[in-house]
Amino acid sequence: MKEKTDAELINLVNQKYRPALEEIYERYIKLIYSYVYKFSNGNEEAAKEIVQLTFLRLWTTKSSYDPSKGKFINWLLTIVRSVCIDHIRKEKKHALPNHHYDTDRTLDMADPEDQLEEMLQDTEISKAKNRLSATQRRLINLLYWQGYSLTEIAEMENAPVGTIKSRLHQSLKQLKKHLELEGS
Amino acid sequence: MERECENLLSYMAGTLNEIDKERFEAHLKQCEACMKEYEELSDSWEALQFDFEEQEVPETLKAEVFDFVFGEEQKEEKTTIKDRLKVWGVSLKKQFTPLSASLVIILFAITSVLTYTNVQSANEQPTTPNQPAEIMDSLNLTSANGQMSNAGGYAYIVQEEKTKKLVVHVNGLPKLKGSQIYQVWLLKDGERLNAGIFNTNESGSGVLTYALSEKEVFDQIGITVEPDRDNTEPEGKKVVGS
Repeated sequence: MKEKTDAELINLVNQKYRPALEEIYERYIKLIYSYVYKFSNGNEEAAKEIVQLTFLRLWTTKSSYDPSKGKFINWLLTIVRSVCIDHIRKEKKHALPNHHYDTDRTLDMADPEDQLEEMLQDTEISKAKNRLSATQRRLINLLYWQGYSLTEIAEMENAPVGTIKSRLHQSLKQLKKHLELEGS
Repeated sequence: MERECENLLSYMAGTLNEIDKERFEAHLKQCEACMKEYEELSDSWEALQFDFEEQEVPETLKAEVFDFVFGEEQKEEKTTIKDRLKVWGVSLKKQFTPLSASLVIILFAITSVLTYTNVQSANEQPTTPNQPAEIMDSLNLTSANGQMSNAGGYAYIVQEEKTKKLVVHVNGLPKLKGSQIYQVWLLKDGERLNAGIFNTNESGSGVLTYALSEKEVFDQIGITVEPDRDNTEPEGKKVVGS
């Protein structure tokens, strides 16, 4: 298994070959777990559940990785993120009756989020992100890491959806510029 | 900017539903503006996915993950057996429209009721009193022998449901000794037909019943004393007759 490429491993997983799934685990669990840990806002129990669901999805998925369409890690993390989104949407449905509660939760989370950001300052992306305004960072986090839809964010921010959309477009473009500067 | 272009960000964020997602993917292939914007944004988007801190993976996680994945699968296998039974049940159900199913049930119910009542009535039959026997005809029997002038009696033709019986009741006839026996004869057009034998009791009365076929008729009855019981023609003297 060790000498197989990621694409070969996914093919074997599609054919229900368990050692291939275990090899994927060995190679990427640190990445997946760290990612999910952030997504679940440091909740270990939720992180474990999401990792379990992620591997269940990898095991049962019909889609396979096509190397011509990008890096394996991007493919993998897209799946992980989609499991995360499904999970938090399900949780929200169960636990949260209305959007006001969502807003409260977001406010409550502002502090640990900032602490985490401080710890992430070493990485390229966090450096680039830190060059953005607080509002831009908040919008990106709501969209990327908390899985809110644009409509939900617009409600939280008390702004029209169109405005939120263009602010996010702008923030992401600016982030790209910062990344390029950091990288050079 | 087309209306569909509005969905670019939601598409990237994965918050579109399946239908909108497919529609946007189709749009993305032919909208240059979106394609350009998508490429520009996806760099930062993909960079964002590394915006996390490395975590220590709990040691128990691997076992928990694989137990979960393959436990789920076993559960699925188990349910497939259940599902198969379910499918079988459903396909059986499909064989019957609600109408035919209810007809079958109704017929079954009727059959059960009829069977039950039939069994019940079969059980009751022996206990129900017989239809009262109807006397179709009666004949007075008188002595035909001077020595037994007290002898007499009646003969009845009795209709009991579907069987016709001849009942002969005599009295005043002494009880016969040894192999001697009273024999009843039916006379029809000069022919004599053996209708059975009997003896009387101590007080001199005796009864004989003889099953008549549906169309059997006779003119007269005669009772003789026969030396033994196996006669086809009367040998002894006539004691009583109609």
